[in-house]
Amino acid sequence: MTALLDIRNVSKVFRTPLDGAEKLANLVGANNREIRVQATDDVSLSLNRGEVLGVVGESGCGKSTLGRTVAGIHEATSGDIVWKGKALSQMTSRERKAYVLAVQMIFQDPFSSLNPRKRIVQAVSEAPVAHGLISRRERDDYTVEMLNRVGLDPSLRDRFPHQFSGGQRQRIGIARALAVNPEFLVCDESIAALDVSIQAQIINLFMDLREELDLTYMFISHDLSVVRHISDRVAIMYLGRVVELAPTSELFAKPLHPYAEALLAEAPDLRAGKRTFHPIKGEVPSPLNPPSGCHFHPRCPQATEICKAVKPELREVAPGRQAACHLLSDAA
Amino acid sequence: MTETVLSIDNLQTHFFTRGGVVKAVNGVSLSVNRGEILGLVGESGSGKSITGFSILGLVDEPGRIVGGSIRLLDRELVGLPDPELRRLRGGRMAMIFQDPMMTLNPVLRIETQMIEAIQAHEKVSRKEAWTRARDGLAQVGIPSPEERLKCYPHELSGGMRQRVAIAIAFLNRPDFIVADEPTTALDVTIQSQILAEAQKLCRDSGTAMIWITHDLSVVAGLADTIAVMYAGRVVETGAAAEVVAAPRHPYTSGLIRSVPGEHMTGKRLFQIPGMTPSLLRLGAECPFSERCFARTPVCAQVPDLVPDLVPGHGATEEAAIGDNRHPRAVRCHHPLSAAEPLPTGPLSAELPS
Ligand SMILES: Nc1ncnc2c1ncn2[C@@H]1O[C@H](COP(=O)(O)OP(=O)(O)O)[C@@H](O)[C@H]1O
Ligand SMILES: Nc1ncnc2c1ncn2[C@@H]1O[C@H](COP(=O)(O)OP(=O)(O)O)[C@@H](O)[C@H]1O
Ligand code: SF4
Ligand SMILES: [Mg+2]
Ligand SMILES: [Mg+2]
Repeated sequence: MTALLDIRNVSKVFRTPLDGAEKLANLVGANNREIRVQATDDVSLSLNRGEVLGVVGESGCGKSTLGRTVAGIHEATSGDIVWKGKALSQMTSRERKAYVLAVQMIFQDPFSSLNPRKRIVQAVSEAPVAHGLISRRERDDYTVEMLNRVGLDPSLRDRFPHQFSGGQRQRIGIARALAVNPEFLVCDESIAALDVSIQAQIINLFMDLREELDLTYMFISHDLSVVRHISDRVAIMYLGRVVELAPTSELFAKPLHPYAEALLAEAPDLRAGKRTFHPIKGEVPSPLNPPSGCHFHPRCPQATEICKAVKPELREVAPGRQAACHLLSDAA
Repeated sequence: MTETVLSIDNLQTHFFTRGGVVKAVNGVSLSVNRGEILGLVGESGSGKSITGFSILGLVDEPGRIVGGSIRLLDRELVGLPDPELRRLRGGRMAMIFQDPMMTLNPVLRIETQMIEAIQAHEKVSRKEAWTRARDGLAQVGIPSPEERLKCYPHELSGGMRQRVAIAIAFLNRPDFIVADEPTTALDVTIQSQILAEAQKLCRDSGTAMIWITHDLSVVAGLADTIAVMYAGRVVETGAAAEVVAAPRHPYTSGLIRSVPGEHMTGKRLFQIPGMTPSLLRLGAECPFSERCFARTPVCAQVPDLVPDLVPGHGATEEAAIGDNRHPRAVRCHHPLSAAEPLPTGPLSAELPS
């Protein structure tokens, strides 16, 4: 079976070139250098139709960059995205247009992506009209259908975004994405800004839509309990790299990578009761200047000499399980 | 002997706005023991921060404490003149904010700020104050504290800045600290380090603390007791483990069940229907009633926060749940019984009419 979407060795580097003043200063001996951030580093993941892949990791590890690259918002610096067997770099402009509609992104703050001066009916029906999915005359009926689908009262469709609560706005954001008949949703911290009781409503909505519309999700979140709930498989990222990839239940039963283990141990757990914390030391290093070898080695309780020198590849370390750690590859 | 450090009784803080009176805090009662942490939880807008500000005397116009009592040890804080409140702040009590820059001055070195904070409340030499500042930073897990003392706030990461703010709050070994969502903006591994340090500092210094958060999972791991707020009131309180294991208020129960957990993987989550009511238009009814599966006609009257008695809890006679140090109380006409199986599945369609 070919994957629906295949992320192949995707890297994204952001460069902030020197401005004129810095270049001048360099002429007289200053040492200003171009800022270079490797946001994602050789990431390979593939998603089958109907699957939910969770992507977790601490801020700055490259989750959003990966999601945006998949959604076609960022161009990969190297590597390729393969959609239904066809590489993005090989697509005709027509195929590429279809791809950009098929893969929709749901953001954390739908408000920032909703035009405050446009009524909801416009926000939802604009893209499908522009792309010829529906005619202008069908706009209203179509919007009603979309709002019903996301559990929003359709009689509110002539209102403006500011007249809605956070949870309602997120439903509007989802309705707008669904309006172009996507097959794949990239959800980037889509429930992070919502209150707990509203989070549950939106998670349920995502799960219902998955069944009704046969959707595939890349579900990005820093919240492990949410990812655990919704995902079939989980990828854990650290400083631009995937360090572990596993079926959800196996990962939570026994994380293999030392970072995955630390992250899972430290995630707050409602049902674990009061506890003494034994946190790992230190902070995530700056992506401007990542540590050599395994990026995690300065914080890793089990690091050895090789970890400082050599980058561990993500490879199969047990049936169905991948991790990037020297410790594990040696054992395998 | 446990000693009650802070006790709040029926606190009311209202905002007199052009749109009407916002009853942000509308009858909050709670208490915190020495060396313990109370987790104050609730959704955004439920009045957690304003409760914290009220204790510290930091409520600004158009807000005002209009009723109730706040006792810090044997002192009544409501009605205390400003200069006296200012003397208490940073000395006997302190606040930690979500944004550490609320505490830190961007143009002063950490050193200067910490030494000033000590000398404002105590006559000690600069040298001694410096030593205490350095030890304070070390206690919150800041590596090479001597060097950090020389830094300006912007030279530190967000997690480091929050640690400095926490160190400053603890500098004068206060009786009481309010921490308002101090780890909400931080990553899991940093949050976990800070929770560990706060827990240890409270235990060691005997400081009583209110830890405000919207995240029940955080307080479940950290706090000794929990108070759950809804629409300006505490609706349930008690020992943290007991409240989480056997919530009595339908709102607490709903909140807990809407958090994804192991046993729920892949299933629909419980969802509390609707959303929080506007604090401008609170009527005489239980403010949770429009979202509540247990409501009956008596819920048209606001219930009181009453000590929680459960018939046949363990024994045959009525026994109060909770140990003596952490009494349990609930504000509901129909508290769920510990034995009663919780309703499952989404209840939005099954609300009584
Ligand atoms: N447009 C951009 N320009 C420059 N750097 C960026 C840009 N977007 C992200 N980055 C950097 O790339 C890294 C990864 O960021 P991001 O993908 O947003 O991480 P996450 O979503 O996991 O928090 C960070 O160091 C971030 O500062
Ligand atoms: N300056 C103000 N003027 C009017 N209303 C306010 C003001 N500050 C807070 N409120 C209201 O008080 C209520 C409680 O706020 P807050 O204590 O900040 O909630 P929480 O911390 O639980 O999110 C909110 O509904 C808020 O709108
Ligand atoms: S008082 Fe009534 S409406 Fe309010 S929470 Fe209890 S049962 Fe529900
Ligand atoms: Mg992000
Ligand atoms: Mg608040």
